Amino acid sequence: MRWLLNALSTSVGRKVVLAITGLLLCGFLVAHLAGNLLLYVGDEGKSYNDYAHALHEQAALLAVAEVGLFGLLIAHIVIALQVSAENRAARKVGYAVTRSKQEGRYAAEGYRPDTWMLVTGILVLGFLVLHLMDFKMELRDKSFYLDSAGLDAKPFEKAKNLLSTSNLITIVGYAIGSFALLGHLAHGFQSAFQTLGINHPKYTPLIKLVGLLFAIAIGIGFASFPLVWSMSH
Amino acid sequence: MSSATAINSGSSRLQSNAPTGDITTRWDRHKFDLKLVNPANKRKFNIIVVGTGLAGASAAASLAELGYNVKAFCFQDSPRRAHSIAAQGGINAAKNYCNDGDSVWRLFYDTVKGGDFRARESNVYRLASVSTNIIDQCVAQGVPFQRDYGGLLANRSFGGAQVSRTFYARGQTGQQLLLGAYSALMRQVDLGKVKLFARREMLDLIKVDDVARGIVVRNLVTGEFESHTGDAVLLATGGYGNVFYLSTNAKGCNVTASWRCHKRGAFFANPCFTQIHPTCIPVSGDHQSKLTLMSESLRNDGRVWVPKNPNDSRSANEIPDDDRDYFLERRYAAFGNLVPRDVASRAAKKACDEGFGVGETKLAVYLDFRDTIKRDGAAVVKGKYGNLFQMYAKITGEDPYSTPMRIYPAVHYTMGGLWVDYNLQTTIPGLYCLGEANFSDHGANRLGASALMQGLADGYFVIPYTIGHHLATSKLPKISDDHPDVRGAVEAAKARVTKLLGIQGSRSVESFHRALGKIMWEKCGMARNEAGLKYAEQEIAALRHEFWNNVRVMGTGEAFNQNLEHAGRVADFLEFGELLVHDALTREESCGGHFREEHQTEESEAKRNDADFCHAAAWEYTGGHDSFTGEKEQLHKEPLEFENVHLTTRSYRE
Amino acid sequence: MSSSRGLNLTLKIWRQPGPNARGEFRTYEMKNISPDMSFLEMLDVLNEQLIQTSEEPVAFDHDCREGICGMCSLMINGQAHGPDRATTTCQLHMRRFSDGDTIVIEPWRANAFPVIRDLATDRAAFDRIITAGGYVSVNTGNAQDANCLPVGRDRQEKSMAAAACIGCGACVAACKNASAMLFVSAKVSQLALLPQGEPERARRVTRMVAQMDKEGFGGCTNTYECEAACPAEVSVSNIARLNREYLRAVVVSEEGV
Repeated sequence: MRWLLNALSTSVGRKVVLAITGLLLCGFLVAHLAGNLLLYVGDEGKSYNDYAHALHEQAALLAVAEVGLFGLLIAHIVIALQVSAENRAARKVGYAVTRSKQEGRYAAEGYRPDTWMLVTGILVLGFLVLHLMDFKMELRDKSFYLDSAGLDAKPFEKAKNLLSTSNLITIVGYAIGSFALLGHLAHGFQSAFQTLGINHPKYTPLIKLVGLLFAIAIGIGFASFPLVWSMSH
Repeated sequence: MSSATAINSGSSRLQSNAPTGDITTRWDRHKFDLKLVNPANKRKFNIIVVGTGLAGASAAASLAELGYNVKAFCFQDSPRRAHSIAAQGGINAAKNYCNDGDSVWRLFYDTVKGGDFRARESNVYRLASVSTNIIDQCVAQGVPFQRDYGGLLANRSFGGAQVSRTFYARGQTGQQLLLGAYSALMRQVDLGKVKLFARREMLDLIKVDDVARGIVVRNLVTGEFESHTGDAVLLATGGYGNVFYLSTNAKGCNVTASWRCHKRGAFFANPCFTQIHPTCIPVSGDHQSKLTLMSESLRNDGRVWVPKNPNDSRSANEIPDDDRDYFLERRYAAFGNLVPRDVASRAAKKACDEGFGVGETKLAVYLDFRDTIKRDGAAVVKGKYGNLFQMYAKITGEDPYSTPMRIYPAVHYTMGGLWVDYNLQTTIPGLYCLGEANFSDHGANRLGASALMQGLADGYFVIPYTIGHHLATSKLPKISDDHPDVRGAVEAAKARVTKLLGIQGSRSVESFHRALGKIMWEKCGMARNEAGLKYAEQEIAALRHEFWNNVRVMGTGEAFNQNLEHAGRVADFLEFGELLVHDALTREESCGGHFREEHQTEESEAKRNDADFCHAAAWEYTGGHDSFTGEKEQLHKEPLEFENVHLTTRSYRE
Repeated sequence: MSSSRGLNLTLKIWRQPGPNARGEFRTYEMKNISPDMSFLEMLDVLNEQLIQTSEEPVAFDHDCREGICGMCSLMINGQAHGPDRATTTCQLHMRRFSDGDTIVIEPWRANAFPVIRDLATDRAAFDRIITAGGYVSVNTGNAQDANCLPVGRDRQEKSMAAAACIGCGACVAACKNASAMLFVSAKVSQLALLPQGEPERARRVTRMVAQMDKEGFGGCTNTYECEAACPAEVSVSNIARLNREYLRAVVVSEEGV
């Protein structure tokens, strides 16, 4: 299997790994967002709690999924950092002036998502760490995890506590993280297809459109919890 | 004139080595007669190839494939930059894919006639017969020639041919063929059979015991001088059109390699045969650094005209047909706008000389697509010529779809070059010359789409056979780098560079080059006469003397120094230019690209003198050609015999 | 050239005496430049002026001056080959600039393209990439008749569009990663689209990618600045094809086992 390692360690191979892990992580985002959207069901958290309960029942499966996701994430991050560092190093002496030649790009110089992947990626990573601290590891202030009776709160209750307007760290962190995710996906989704060799005059425009809509849906979807849902609870 | 006594008719120094008898079997018989090098011995021979254009790259690759060790040199940063890349229109081959009556014989006939009977029949026939193999070879390399919907190769008629035998890849045929040859070359680099030396300029030939054994080059990046020795030297260094300063050649094109070999004993043949291409973008001002050609395929659909009234101040579109003179259609009923290049160029010059020229400078004629656009629609025209129209618009700032193009002839190709025999060997044993750099196949005028054909024929299909004979039959002892002849050549090259840098005068290299070009173009361009040529000889000699006393070359010899490179090339042009002019003066006839005003018919057409000039004029360097000192080069003549295509007056009128 | 049309310009040009020497920008004033001049002719004028004042002329690579040889380069105001699309520097004309403009001129910047002097760089890395596989292994003389293998016209045209690459390096210069993917993909695509290129497909792409990495070019992050800068308008769809060819070589072929 040395051939596989060799093949995946070239500049093209590593991008392929980046694309595949990225797309798989997109799949996770869809599932996660779908689950979270249950917060909006107006039944005082019953659906959401049931969902969380059902999920945690599958302990073995969950463990496998978590390890898998963690693996994908680590691979994605490590390769991304490595590739970024190498790409930067490929031009030791820079230009005094640079200006895009892409049509319509001039005005938006520097604000296109594709040139900010490292930054948005790091912001999303920060968001993820905070999110895991909040919900997974429960490392924040104990009061967030207790209900009014001082007992261990149900998931819905915890979400309400953590996403309360008084917990600015979470609100602001999640909002920034969600928009960074939007930016990251806006380039990443369609770029992954190009990297995997999928470029066709009939389908590429569609892929680009879907990628943009996907990024907006995921980004706005996640941003809605700190910005919309939290206000109404 | 001392040259009268120098003429040496049918010189014994010029053995063409062309076979006799049935022309269709000459090459086959000759190949059989040539000695072969045993496959196991091929790896013992080292061959030096200078220049990596079509001829050089194809030769280097093919020889390496055979097993020879090859060193390839170019002055550019990569072999892929060679100026073959700029050829637009196409490459001829007698495939007869179009079923329109083409054949090897017809291509042979057209080329001999198109060359105005100043080429060697045997060579031309060989060229026509290997033309078909070239297309096969290029397609196999992955050259994406234009195809029809059925997937087979497309052809077009080109450059005055009455059959469709031209293969093309957009308007970038030269690029694609060169990249094909370049890829074959790089494959051999990968296999270790070719060593590539880019950014090296050849400055001298190393001769040992009168045999070419190596070259001296200057590394253009570091300024170091290097000697490279081997068992044969191939020059594929292109044409000398830049002696006119303004030409369609790349800026770097030069005569230096050929000229230094000439000074070491290689005869220079027919330098006055220079081709002026009719469809170039006119000069726009004194700053002009080069001229841009637009493929003559444009003449398939564009109509050439000037206003009937020389003082017509209306814009082109406002001039009605009745007030236009479509002079090519008027004068050449049978061929119309498709007459060969030399004829079309002279007709345009004549119109401008008589005051009918258009544009600010009055040195241009219109090339008008109005009627074609009306007939076929702008989309069709765009499909055929889009890239050329775009290029024209970019350079002139005018839209050729709505206003006629302005065109004027410009120096394009040089038929003359180092004299070679049928084996492509020069008068120096072991020194071969291929492609545009030699004189052999196009006579006094080259037909469109034939340069690519000749470069690749020489490199792929001629030299791999003929060089073996030299290697198999010569004694070639190993030469060490400290052989006195090697050291001598290196020292001579160094001394010349030192001398150039030491003059420290006040006039730039560029200004000398421009001044030389002006003399050449005005007195030895599209039309030449005795008085003008004599004047030009004097002027060039004077300019050369001034150059060596007053040129300012900046920088040092030990670094990347483009000014120094240019200086060396201009110095050689200043010597060579005078020989070119002298050759034009000596050739008292008009033929092909060489038009002597004293020798024309009543209808102002070229008038050949077959009785006295049916020969190739090969000049031997005998210490320098200098109108000041009266020194002349020695002329040798190779008589040309036309057994198969009979000498006729070239006429494109009916 | 009428003086009323002439442009007065300020040039800021990168000057560097040699590969290992320190470089710096130097400022030159140009007076009365004809709008009909090409950009390189404007530099010719500058160099003539410099020679008159005994300053060494600016070194820059150029040859054919008709947009096909790929030898000219230059980053002009931060754009490879200047502001026009589908145009090399030699085909850029001064009418594109306005009186009073300041023009910053830099060499291509990439570790794989070291500066030789001033604005001239060494692009031999491209040659080495082609050497690694940018060819069809066919010896002279053993080709069959050219029409034996039909090639559909759309394939041929796509192949030609990729083959149009002039090897100038603008893609590398414009890419934020100094990636050579557009260049490599052009050659891989040209040959992958033709039946003649078929036998060596896997080996070609594998070796060319390996060489590209070895030369120190960056990787592709699909920002497509290369396509916008390419004077030959080579499309980034070729990069996708290279990726495809690469995956095919990894997954399907026995290459590299």
